[in-house]
Amino acid sequence: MRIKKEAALAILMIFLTFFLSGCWDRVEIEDRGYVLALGVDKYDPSDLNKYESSEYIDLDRRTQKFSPEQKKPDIKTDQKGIDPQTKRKVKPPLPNSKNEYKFAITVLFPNLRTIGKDSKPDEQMRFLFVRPANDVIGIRNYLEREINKRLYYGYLKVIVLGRDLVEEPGYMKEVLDGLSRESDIPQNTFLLVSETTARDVLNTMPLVQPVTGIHLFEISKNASIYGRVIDTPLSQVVNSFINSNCAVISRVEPGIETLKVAGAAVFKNFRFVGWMNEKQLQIYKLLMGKAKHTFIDDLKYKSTYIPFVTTEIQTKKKIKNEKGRLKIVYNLRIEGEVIEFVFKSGYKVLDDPMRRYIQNELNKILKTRAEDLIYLLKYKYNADVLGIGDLISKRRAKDWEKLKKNWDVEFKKIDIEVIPDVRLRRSGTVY
Amino acid sequence: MIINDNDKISSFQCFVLFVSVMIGIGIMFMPSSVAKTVEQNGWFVVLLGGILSFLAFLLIFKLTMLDPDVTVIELLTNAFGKIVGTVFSIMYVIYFIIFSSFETRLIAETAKEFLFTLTPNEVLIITFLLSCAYLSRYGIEVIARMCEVLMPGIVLIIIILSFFVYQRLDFSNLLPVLNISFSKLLKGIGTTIFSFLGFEVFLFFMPYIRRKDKLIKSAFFGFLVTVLLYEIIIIFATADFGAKEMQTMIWPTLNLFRDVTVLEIVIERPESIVVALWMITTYTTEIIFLMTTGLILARIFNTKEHNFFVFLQLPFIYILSLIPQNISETQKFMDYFSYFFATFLVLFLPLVTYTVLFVKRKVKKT
Amino acid sequence: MGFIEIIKRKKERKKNFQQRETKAFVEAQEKIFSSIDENIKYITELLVDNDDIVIRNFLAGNIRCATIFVDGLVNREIIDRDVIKHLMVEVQLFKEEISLKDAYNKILNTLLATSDIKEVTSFKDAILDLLCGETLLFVDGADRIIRVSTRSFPNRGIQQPISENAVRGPRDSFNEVVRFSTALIRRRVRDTRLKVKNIKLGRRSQTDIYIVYIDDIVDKDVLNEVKQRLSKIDIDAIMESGMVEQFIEDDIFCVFPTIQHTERVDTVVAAIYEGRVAILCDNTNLALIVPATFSTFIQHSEDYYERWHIATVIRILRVIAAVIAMTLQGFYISISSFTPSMIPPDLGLFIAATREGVPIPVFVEALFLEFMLELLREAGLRLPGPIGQTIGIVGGLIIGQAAVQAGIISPIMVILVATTAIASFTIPAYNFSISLRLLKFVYIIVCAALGIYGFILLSLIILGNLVKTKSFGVPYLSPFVSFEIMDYKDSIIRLPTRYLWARPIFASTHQKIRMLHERSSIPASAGENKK
Repeated sequence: MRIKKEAALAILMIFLTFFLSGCWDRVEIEDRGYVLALGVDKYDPSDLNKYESSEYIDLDRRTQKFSPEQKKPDIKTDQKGIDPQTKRKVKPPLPNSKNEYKFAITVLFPNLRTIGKDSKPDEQMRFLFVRPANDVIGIRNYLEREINKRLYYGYLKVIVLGRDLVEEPGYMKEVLDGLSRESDIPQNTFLLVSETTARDVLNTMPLVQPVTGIHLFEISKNASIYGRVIDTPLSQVVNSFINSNCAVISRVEPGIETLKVAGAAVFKNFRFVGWMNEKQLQIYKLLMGKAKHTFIDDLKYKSTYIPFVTTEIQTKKKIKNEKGRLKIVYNLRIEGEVIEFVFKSGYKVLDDPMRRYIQNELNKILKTRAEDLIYLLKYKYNADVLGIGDLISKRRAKDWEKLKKNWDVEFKKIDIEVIPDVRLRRSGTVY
Repeated sequence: MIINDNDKISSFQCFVLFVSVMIGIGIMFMPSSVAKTVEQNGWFVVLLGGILSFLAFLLIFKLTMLDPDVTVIELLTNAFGKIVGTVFSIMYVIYFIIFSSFETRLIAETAKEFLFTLTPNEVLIITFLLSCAYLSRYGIEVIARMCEVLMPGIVLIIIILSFFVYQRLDFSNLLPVLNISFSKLLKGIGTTIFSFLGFEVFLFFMPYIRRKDKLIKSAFFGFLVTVLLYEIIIIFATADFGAKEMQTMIWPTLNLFRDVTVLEIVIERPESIVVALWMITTYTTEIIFLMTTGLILARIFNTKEHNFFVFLQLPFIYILSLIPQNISETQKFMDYFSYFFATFLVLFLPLVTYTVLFVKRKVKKT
Repeated sequence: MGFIEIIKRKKERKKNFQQRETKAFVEAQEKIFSSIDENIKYITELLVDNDDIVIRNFLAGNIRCATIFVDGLVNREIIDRDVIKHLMVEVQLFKEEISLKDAYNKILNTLLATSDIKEVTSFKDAILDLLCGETLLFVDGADRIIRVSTRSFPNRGIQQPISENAVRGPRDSFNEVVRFSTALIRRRVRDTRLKVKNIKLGRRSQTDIYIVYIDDIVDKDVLNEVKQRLSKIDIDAIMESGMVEQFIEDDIFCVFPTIQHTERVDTVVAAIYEGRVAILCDNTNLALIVPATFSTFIQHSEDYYERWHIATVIRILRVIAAVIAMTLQGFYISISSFTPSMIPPDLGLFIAATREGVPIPVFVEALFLEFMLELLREAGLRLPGPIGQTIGIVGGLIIGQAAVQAGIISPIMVILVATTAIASFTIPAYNFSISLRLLKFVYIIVCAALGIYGFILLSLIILGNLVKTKSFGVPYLSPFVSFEIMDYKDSIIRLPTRYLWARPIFASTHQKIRMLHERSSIPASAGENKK
């Protein structure tokens, strides 16, 4: 009796496993389209031709960037979007109140046939699709009308935001919400702001790595080495937006067959307020303690530029109370090496007069640059991206209660002092 | 030596049972609900919650030691008479069934969010319940053996993952310390109660424990390990995200372990591994609950084997777990459940039973 | 009502059927006649149509005697030289005549020059002995028969073990002749407390079964349990030890075996010293060892002859191989079809690229290749000698290569299938690795339906099955479950021999210490019952 019961139980379980589950979710690994890069732009109704004109697509394939003077070819169509010459539908119908879109989204995914050993050399390495839509993440479902693969965000490496998108705080909030809500998107996807539009960036096929998404991803990943590039993963950007409504996002400039990631964009209240150029970004990274290895080349000695590379950086922040106002002191302790000087100069870089000169000059340079940056952030942008508010709320909770209500104004009153302390440790293999 | 088939568990197995039954699916959601009330002081609230639960367990221990060879069912009938006692026992049965349905629903939701998109909830719940019921048919010794095999693995994997997370943490997010009012603290403790519940199964295990004098020691270590694990998770989660962001997340624990790159060549995003790990912890909790309910019903109806009752409760768990509309509603129900039902059955009822029996014994002696 | 009647009638028929079959195993009478003519007449009538039975009538002096034996099972030299010659010739040394009355005693005590004789008082036992290969000596006027031991079988000789090879270690394996097997064990154990107990199983085949154990090390409960279960076997013929194994095992629904079998003599002897019981069956070159736990299937006697770090690494390798053999395919199917986010992106894109253009989904690929592999394995076993081995290798290579080139199968699947197959060969116990192979198919099917979720649930079910199994009272996952710290030293790892001073869980609690070494410190509480 017991044996029969066990047998019945086993058979029941096998049946249920078989028939109840119908392999709903099984998608073969090659049936997925792995979206490697996503670009979000604000929909520009005057650029209808961008999306469906065949001449524009032709130009795409030859991968040239448009110079601003060059006029984009314009095909005149009637209200329904039909080209009178060929009688074929060329572009989406003109916008009216019913089909006005918010975003134009670019999706980039690789061509699987070109990865692997036997691949034809003239096949396209990646596919680019640009579509207008009203939401960001849902573009996957729109594009399934045209792409035979199931788009999958699991390998998404890079999200590029267009310049005109980031000027709208409402749009920005929608984009950020979509990105943080979707469970498929990895949380260390890099966010980048493009100088022109996201579409231009993703259109460019850099020579060093034709698949644009991977190119941008790898540059951002190496950001810990350079001072002029900052890596802004999604989790960090979302975190800083939640805590202080301000954030810093890295910047990308499209070029001809190259893409440059340098500098950053500063956001306040979800709106883009200005750029940080490379030098300012370098100081910013030093102040935030994110840079390991930066390259300072402003130091000059009698017409020779002495490049200095930092190897170890320690940032300590202190809060002091002076004359009823709070003062924040950054103690930057920097150690580094000099990598180039003058051949047979007669000076030993590591010894006293030269070393002291280098250290003092660098201190001065860093201090002035830091003051420039702080002036920029305090008065011009009024964005607390250095995390000052956060710091005060943690260490001086009582003071923060008073300052919290009017933080924008109070931020201008806080005194921030940067005291850099550079030590020259190495100079290569030559004295 | 042959281990006799007399179904008794040793003190190490008691310790393992404590840890297995308390660490369930609750910890996956707890940092977020704690952050809503006490912001960044979650670690303190978890500590207090653990201490309070331990005190509650001591009360249960005292109650069951009044008569060590019977379960609390007989104690209830002694104290209140047969009918009322049976009613209270049935209330325990309902309590465990509701608890099991919460756990099942939550793990099915987690799996559906991260592993599947189209597979219906029903399939996930049915397969999970059947796998749990397969093992629950056997006695407490087999279940304790299973937890003995699984629990060290779970604890070890969580600690290893925590090592990898450690370098990106910013512990200044835990400041300022203890700047909240007392009432908020109490509310915060209330949100942690659900994660500590589970130890009340020991009301029914007394006759099966071999060394009853060592039970307090096992319980102490069990609570210690549980509290340590919860502390690690909540401190790391707060340090990683900050209190404000954690309030918006549904699955803070999973997000904590999500982007750890473990051995860059082999497994890159251990998201699915974390979901798998939590399936195993929920499994250990669930088998204990199913078996306990079976035991209670077997004792009430006076049958020798509890196999049948384990399968009998599965349809009820299935139906109950599909009642809430979504996770938000499930968490609301969980709060009501742990505030009212659990406090009644875990604190109030044992206290009353204890006093009644105590008084009765005093009366008998005089 | 009619349904119950049918069931009742079925049960009655079954009982009658069983009663009809219960007959005496040897159809012979008990009593022996005093006259030799009647005895011989009875035997020839009983064993009619058996033309390989040889009867020799002769005179010992003036006493009529006769020998009966089965041709082919006996050593004729003993009969010719020591029985017949002595009785025919040496009797001449006696001066006086031997009377009929003390003829039997005289022959038994002074004339018969063989070393192994027995007096048999019942015809049944005599006939049984005759069919086993002994010679019966009838003496006229006596109502007892003398049985002379002359067993000598055609056999294979002691050869190397076929399925359990070792680089280092003795190479003798058991034989089909159980007497040789017990002799090989005796050579290694010169303990007076070694017991070799005989029982005969199988009503009509009367196969010899020997239970071998060391009396004070073995756990008495286990021993009694073994004896009890063996005594319950009631079948007409035992072909091989496998039938005995299936009757005495604990749980027929456990996916893994609970009784170990081995060809090697040193494995059996080591097991006996650990406190386990060995069962040797006639006509089988395998010995059964009970009780068996998970670690006994992972261990091999060679581990003890090499040094400890080699043994530890190889054991861990075997455990990993066991897990791989069972789960690798299922795991690959679940992560590639359901959650590719687990694979690092570059590897994932590469795998997707290699699968581009393959027309069948992953789990069908896996099932197809595994099925081909099983066919090849079976074919290789059935074909004789060198053809069999070549078919295995060539078939695998050609089919895999051809399929990849045709584009039906992606090369990654071929790699995985090959890895799985090789991993399942590293397990020393064949019955264990068969279970792993079968479970692999279950894994593939479940993972194809539910991905990682199904993988975890199935693993938990199988683990639960392992946890609940007990082999003769010892839990199957023994050192990990019963938390005997001493047993951890010799389970998946192996500490240096000088630290293995305690016998594992199988041994009786009075004989736990087996070694005293100056470098190992034995705690004072060792050897006591640790409950």
